[in-house]
Amino acid sequence: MRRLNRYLIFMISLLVILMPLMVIIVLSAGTNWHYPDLWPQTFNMNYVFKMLFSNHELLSSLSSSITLAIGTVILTLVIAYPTAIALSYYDFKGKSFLNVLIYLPLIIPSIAVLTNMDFVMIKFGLEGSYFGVVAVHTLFALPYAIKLLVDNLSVLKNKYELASLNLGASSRQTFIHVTLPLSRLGLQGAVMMSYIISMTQYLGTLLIGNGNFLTLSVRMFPFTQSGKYQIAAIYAIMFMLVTLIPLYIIDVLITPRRKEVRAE
Amino acid sequence: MRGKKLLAFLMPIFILAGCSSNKDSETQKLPNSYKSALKEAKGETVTYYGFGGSDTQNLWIDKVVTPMMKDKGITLKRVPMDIDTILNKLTTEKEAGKTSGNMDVVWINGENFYNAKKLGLLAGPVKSSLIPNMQKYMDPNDPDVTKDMSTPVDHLEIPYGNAQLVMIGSKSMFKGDYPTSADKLMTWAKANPGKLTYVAPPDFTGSAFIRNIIYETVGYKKLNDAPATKEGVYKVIKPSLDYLNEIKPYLWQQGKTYPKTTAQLDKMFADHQVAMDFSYNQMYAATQKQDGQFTDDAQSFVFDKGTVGNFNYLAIPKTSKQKAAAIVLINTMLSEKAQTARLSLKYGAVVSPYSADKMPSAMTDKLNNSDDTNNTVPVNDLAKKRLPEVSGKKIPIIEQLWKEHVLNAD
Repeated sequence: MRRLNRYLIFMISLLVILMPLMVIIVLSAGTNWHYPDLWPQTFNMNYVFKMLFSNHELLSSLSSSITLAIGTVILTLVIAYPTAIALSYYDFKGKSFLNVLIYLPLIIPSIAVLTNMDFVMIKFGLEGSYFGVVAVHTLFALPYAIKLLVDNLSVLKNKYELASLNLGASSRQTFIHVTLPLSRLGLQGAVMMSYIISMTQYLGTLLIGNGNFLTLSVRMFPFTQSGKYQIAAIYAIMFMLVTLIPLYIIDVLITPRRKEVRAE
Repeated sequence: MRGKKLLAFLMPIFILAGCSSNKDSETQKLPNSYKSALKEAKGETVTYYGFGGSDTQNLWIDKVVTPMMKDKGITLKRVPMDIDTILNKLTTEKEAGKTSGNMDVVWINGENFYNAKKLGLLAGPVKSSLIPNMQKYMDPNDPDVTKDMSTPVDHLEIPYGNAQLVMIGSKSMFKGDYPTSADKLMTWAKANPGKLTYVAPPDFTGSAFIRNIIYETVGYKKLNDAPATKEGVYKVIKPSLDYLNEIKPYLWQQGKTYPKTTAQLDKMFADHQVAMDFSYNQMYAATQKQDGQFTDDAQSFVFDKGTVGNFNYLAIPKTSKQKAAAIVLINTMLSEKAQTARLSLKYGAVVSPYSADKMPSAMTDKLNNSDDTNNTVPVNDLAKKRLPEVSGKKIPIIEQLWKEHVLNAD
């Protein structure tokens, strides 16, 4: 009975998660889909494939999305990792203040943040530059990355690092052989999250990118707004593919290590 | 030690501040003539900023305008950005003191033009002598050439497209008898409750429908003469708000909610949930039919007393770096070749901004011959039943009054 219950819950959650994805796929291929029909009257996969593989707009926006996402992941880790280590290992003045400060980009309405960011970027001459857009994406990725890393690092605190230092390892050795392996899962989460955040940024890319970075979201958004659901759905499928495949690769790379952790 | 840490903290800020020193050069000036513009623009890249959610318009630019520009040695780059973001960005750039930006040509009209003009964001005067195709096909005294929703154009924008509100009715639901006046609409609504609705303003189309109802109930003149204050407009349009409240309980969902986007209403109309749809594109029924969204059941019609029409325009921001190329782009977009192509269904069937008496006959014929197959209204009838727009200042006021007195009436 309990098993059946668990199975039922699993099926329901699967349905809830997969249903919207199914709708997107059907939207992309279905023409003449009218209320209250459950299915479109005709399916036309040709259009989808034509759009996916011959549309140079789609492919060029794909490459600008990915280059921005990679930059964002790197910059986010460079900032988030030391911050997370500081927050979970050490006590210092203003720690609780910093803890709140991190979430500020999520609390303030993004249009207000972005308009002012745009102003600052123009002043610094970074508007329309690769670094400028990556910095904006990073701003929104940081809260998630730091939170994930802090949660991960706080579990064991710096006990193992202290032991390692005590046994005569240098701080560099300790970092490479102790801290890094222990926070692998947190890092994985942070990489995934910042990758997704960067991929989904619309207004920031448009405003600070100054038309130089026409990413997937920048191209997709106007179509959803004007009800061109079929085109939007095709962009969405592309979007899911380029988001899910790298995530899957990262996950596979980490999995053997994860087993070790579980065995403990 | 303390000081060192602080310095490390502030370091990035210094580095960033250092970047700001590269001052932008002086604002570029408009060329003197079209000939010199052509010469100057060769080899340059010009950007076009406009709403990117219409795949047919995107296709027209990519397949028709871009190759034409290429022949002139100019690369065209299309950036999908809605006008709100464009103005937001131009304003921020102005506040930041930036004198040269990335936008060369923007797609604009109405309230947005009024705001852009007020804030001094646009380059001018772009005289018609600079745009040969404007001189050739447009009458300088045409009301839509001189005024954009009663804001004087003052050579700050160039007509680009012609839009007029049309109603699209379901043949089967109306049984061929379309409600061509506000009174007929009311009668039909009462007989068929729940089968009509309109898009909630500030959507362009919903807002235009409400203005059209005002024209029907109190007339254009009264609204145009009313002072542009909330009280002034309210006093004049009270009968229209009463009309909208009277019809409200007979609308879809008893008028408690309204579709938020035209896309939503299009879908409801295609599904026969409602009998009537609206569009600012005169050929909308035809393009939607081509797209497989509507069937032959969708027939365009207009009110007997006429419907609101307006133009949309192209403007060059003051900060444009490629003003010569921008002039060439505008002239190319207005050429007979580009505008004739734009009439075909695959490019969205947008009616050209040419003045009626200067329109090449090939174009007029093409428009008139296709009414039956396209389920549209003949172009001459449309021109006869075209009503002017009121001031861009009054539109947000009307929208606000609708929200207060109709949407939240109870």
